[in-house]
Amino acid sequence: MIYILQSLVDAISLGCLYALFALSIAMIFGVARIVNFANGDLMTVGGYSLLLAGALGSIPTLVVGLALVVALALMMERLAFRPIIKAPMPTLMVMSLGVSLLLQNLMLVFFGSRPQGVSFAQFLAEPIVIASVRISALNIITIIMLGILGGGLLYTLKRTSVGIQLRAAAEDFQMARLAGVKANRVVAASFVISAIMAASAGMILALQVGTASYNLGGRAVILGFISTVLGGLGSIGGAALGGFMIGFATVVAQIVLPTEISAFRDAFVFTAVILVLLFRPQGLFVAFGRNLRA
Amino acid sequence: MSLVIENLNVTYGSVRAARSVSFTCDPGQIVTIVGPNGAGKTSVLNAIAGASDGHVAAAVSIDGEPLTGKQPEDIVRQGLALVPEGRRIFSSLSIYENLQIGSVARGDKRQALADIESMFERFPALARRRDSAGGTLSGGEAQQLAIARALVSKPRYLLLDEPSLGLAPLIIAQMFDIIRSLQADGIGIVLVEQNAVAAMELADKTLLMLTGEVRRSATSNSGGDLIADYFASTLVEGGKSRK
Repeated sequence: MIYILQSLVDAISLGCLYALFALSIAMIFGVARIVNFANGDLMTVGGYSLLLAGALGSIPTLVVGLALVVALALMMERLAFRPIIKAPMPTLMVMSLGVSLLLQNLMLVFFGSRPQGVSFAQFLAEPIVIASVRISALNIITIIMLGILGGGLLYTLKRTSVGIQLRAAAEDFQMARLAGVKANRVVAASFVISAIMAASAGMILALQVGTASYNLGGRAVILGFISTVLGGLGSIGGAALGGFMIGFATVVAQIVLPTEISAFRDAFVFTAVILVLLFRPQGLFVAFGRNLRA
Repeated sequence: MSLVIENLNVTYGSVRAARSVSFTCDPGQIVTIVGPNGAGKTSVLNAIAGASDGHVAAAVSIDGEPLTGKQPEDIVRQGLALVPEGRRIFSSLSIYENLQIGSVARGDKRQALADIESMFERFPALARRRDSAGGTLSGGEAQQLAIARALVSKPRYLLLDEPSLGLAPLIIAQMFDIIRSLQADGIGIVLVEQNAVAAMELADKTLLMLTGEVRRSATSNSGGDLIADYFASTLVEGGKSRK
């Protein structure tokens, strides 16, 4: 019973982390139709920013790290994507690969290839014990983070003018512009929201492994894409749910599979993803009638 | 003071969709463009609104200010709005949110909110559904919403592309009443219509487009020849399928 509870928290927390990856990818894709591989490097920068904790203290580090990642995302949008925003999708994707490689190599130059230990708020590593159930504090923080960020995103999209513009642009970009939505502004807004998700995800990742390295976000960005496609391209909520399902299933597979093969849990999870996509290529939660911008 | 289109050309690769199209539209005037499928009518409207997928060469100005080469979001801020073919309602946004998007171009936010409310008075069918998703509207309601969304931007000139397409006859009559009332408000209207005869009755000026060119133009009281030409043209060109 205790084991089940602990595992449940593990599963939910990994699901929440993957949902963050997915939201970060889906936000930019939904509005700008950019498959942005450089999002993984935004996560990496978020992870590295925790190295500042020794000098700045915990809370300022989080603020500075977040600001750094958002600023980098805005620079990326302005310098790399805005000039070619009308280019075909593959061109934009190659641009994002280029930006990603550039950032990775810059980080290699600055930090070297060896992982750097992050020592940030030691209590996060300690388990919280409630009635003999030991739960990692970081897992709880991850769940709370998704709650706050997801709630904030929902509020932004439903209740604010920029959020309504983002939704309109995600559905029909050109019509939104004809109605007066400023193209550059909504695309930049999608990059800012995506960067907030990426920074948080990167920090959690670095805290989980205890180190930051130049390829910290590499796997995360792939997981984000898979989740987005599984949930349904163009559906923000679908992407988050897709990510949650993959993360949750990964922990469940780890537990349910016999010990000899549980190391191959990812193979099982992604076989399931492939099967789902074979039968529902449009994704699980895609809204009816949504069409992609050409 | 008018919308002036001079020498408008639209090309898609090697295909010339519109050639040397010129006309003017004054405030409170209805200019109707008729012609068979593929004549370039929609290409002309999209080019004026800055939404053309092709290459556009033209001199377009609105009350003396040039529009050529501007982005669609800037053109709507200068007082010209397009109600596109197929209405293009944001189906996942509510009726109210669709109108909010229409008001994004407005600098006077408070007055814009009041104008959204006035749309619900003008189009009572929308008022009953203000929180429903745009995708749930019938064709006639969706067309009303598309027009209302454009009106919230407070345009001086309105481009209407096939507003009666796919609507029942009774609803079409309603749509023409709405267009008349917009004219009465002093808005200059450029109307592209399949429903050529009804549209010409409404128009102060009618242009007949064939294969990308304005072949004939007529004022309201000399439209007879144009109608004859129009029907001749549909007989010749009507077999060509719409792209």
